[in-house]
Amino acid sequence: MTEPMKTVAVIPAYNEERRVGNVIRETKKYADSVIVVDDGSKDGTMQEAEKAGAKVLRHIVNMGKGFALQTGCDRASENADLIVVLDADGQHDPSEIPNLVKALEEGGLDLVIGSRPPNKNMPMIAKFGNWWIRSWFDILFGIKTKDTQSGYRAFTAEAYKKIRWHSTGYFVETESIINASKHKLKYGETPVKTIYHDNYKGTTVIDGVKIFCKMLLWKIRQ
Amino acid sequence: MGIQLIGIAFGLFMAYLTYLYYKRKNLSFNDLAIWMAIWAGFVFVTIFPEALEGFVKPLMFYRLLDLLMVVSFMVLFVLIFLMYSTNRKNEQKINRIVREIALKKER
Repeated sequence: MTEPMKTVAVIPAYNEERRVGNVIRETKKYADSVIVVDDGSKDGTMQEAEKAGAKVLRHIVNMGKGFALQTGCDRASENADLIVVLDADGQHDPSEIPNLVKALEEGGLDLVIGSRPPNKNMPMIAKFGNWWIRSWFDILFGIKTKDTQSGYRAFTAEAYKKIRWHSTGYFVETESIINASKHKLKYGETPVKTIYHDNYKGTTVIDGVKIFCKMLLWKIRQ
Repeated sequence: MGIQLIGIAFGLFMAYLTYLYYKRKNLSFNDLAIWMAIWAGFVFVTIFPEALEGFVKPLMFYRLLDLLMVVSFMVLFVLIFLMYSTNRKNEQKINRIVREIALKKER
């Protein structure tokens, strides 16, 4: 009989004391362990994460989402078979982790992206930004994905070694897909809910412009 | 003469600033020596611009001012490049330090 895969969830968090505890408690139901990377928060994120029972790695200064994810995934890959990454702001529903894991296992995939179908809750600017980046991503790299920017993903620990990114900011999502494609890894998508809160702190318009410029630079470098 | 006075004042002010940074131990003695030589050269050229007159014609410049402009831009670009590469090196060091602390002090 084969042993069940060990799933570790990695949650980067920056000033998320209000929501991180709940996200961890929910995530623990679907993952064997939860690692929170407190990315230099100035509020009680670290204490809330500890209280909720997560392993906490703390950056002494804010380094960016990509860097925080890397710290968490480096630690997770030491003893995990599967790594699931999700945001600390409650934008991703942890009850969908089994769907991502199932897609990964049943499809024999290395990486699964939880793609968010646009809905009425999604801000117009986010819809436009996703469309713009997705279209250019297809034009530049020939990779068709429904949602390049979704931070809700699952991948095998083996795949992580190949998709390990260098971006410290929000380019991490795009870079990891490019790396997966470069290493000919099998990747797929599974739909996830789109939850947007009033005080959304994720990718901004400026981040979107930066992502677009970095895509162009990556293409030139290739 | 006016532009020379401004140049001299600027050179002296920068020399004073350099000394201040050295006194606060932000610069080493070597840094102080190099920067003082640069400011001294700057003040010298401001007072005696004709000292560079000999370079204008052989280097095919029309005026002394053109030569100074080109040299200034070259110096600026070198400084920007040095600052950029130092910044990148420091960034990599900070990345390593922050990650090592985070991984060692897991809670």
